[in-house]
Amino acid sequence: MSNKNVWVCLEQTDGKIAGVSYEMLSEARKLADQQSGEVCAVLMGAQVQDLAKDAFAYGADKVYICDDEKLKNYCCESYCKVLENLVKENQPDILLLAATTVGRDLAGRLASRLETGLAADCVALTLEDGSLVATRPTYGGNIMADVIFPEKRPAMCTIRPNAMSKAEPDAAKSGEVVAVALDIEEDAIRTQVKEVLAKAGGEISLADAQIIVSGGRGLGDASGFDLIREFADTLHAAVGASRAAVDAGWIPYEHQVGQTGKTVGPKLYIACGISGALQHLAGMKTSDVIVAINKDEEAPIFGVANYGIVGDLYKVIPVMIEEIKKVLAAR
Amino acid sequence: MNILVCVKQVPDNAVVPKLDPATDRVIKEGVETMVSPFDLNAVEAGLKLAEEHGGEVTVLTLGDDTCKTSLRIALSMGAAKAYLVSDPALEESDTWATSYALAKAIKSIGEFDVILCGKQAIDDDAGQVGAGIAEQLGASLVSYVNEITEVTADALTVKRVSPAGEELVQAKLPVLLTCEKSLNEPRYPTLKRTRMANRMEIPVLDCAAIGADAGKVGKNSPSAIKKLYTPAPRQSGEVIKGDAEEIAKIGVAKLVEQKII
Repeated sequence: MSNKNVWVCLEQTDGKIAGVSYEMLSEARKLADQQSGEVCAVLMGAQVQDLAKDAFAYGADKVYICDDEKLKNYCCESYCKVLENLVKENQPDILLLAATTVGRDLAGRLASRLETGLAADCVALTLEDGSLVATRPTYGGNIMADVIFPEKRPAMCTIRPNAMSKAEPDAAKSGEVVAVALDIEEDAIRTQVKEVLAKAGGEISLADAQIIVSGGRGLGDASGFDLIREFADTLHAAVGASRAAVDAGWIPYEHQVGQTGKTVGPKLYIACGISGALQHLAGMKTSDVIVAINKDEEAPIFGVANYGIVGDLYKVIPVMIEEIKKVLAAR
Repeated sequence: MNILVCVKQVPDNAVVPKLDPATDRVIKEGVETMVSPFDLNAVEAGLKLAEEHGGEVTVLTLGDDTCKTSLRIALSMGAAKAYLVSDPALEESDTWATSYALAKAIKSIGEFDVILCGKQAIDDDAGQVGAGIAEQLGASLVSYVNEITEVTADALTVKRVSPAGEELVQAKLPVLLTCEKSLNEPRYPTLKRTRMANRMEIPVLDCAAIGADAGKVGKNSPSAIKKLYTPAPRQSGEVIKGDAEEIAKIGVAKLVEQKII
């Protein structure tokens, strides 16, 4: 018999909890309160005990910690085994994981093993008649799907970063910590991280970024990204790009935003010299605020922009950088 | 090295998908199709592995008879064999049921060292079927692969996209990889291979042929779509025009005013 508890698999890298984990906890708290359930968090990694207090602050009632040197790097088999054991023992109603390259890898394998439903990359969760309805974008965000879970539990979802709001943390809160042992046979481990290759010095990843500054064909050439990087640095933003800029070889693929690149939803997206092809819009149109800077007033990007600045980006952006510096310096 | 690649036929993404108000499903009639782009990277990766390490590439898809078009594209790129899993019972399968059926099909076709999928299909955008197949087959899983760095008799070493950047991962065979666009540049079919591909027989497998329990798939899937709808279109906002210096200042002022920065 499953209960009405909502579980969250916290994502952490090198002892730092990812922002999406707090968003999931905040959402889990809301759902659990509606159905009088508990929020339970699972924390896996090496030397991660200290992170439990953050989970409590964001709404967890209980934190299961599997702390093991072998979990330092993500390992699909080990992480999956820990979660499988916990789910089978505790029978949660709902289980949330992050829609990142780790969470999606883990959730896909686990759902298949548990023979339960999994909705990917969800942006909203609601309860209808006591059952979860998960809303997720499909077709590059052109169609939304409401997914239901008729019988099998837990209802599993991966949650898109930046899609749900974070509650105010309450540092005074605490709860029960349950230590969990890693219980997996050596030969069941079939994949091993040999090396972690970090991003170039201090670069902010598109997935985590609150602000993204993107450049497109309108930059004219590769050196245009120097200005985009300077703009991004001023705002502590990540650098994005349109497919046209990536195809032109001006910037590596990992910066590509769009249907065949990354889907992002930051608080602020600044599109510079990007016309706004359908495939690009699919990757960024759920951003909270969109600013477009483009010479061509007819560009489709202006159709989705909250603020459309019609002008030469090489004249506009340097002034914006100086203005923003002034604003930030005055704070 | 025996390689199997799963592909999915999807509606052309140059067209905005529309919903049929009567059925509440995406209209597919009259819409051009394409092989989901990341699946072409998977086909290319399979062909390269076979060329460099021996073996052949088998392609597999699940869908109706029209999906043979996508299989023929993979054949014309260089795949040796193709299979279509098709059964009315599979309609409306969720990602669990789809991966269950594909894994059953793979087991019924043969033994494979490497199974390749795209990182996600660009219609459902779920990216879960690859992981599900790996689990059902008891294979290793490495998703979001952007480089294959080493191939030995019993393991692959690959780079994958990770939250921190990239990871170098070694995985024992059999392994399932899901492929990023940056993994490679898919080749174009040659005319000669296209002619051959058009003449090739594509066996069609139903649930009975692959030993899949029809009671677990289709409408009996663990999850279901309750409703599809078009999101409210984003309204365009304020247009700021004029002297470059002035509009730049106005732009920043707006963002500060709205507490965005």
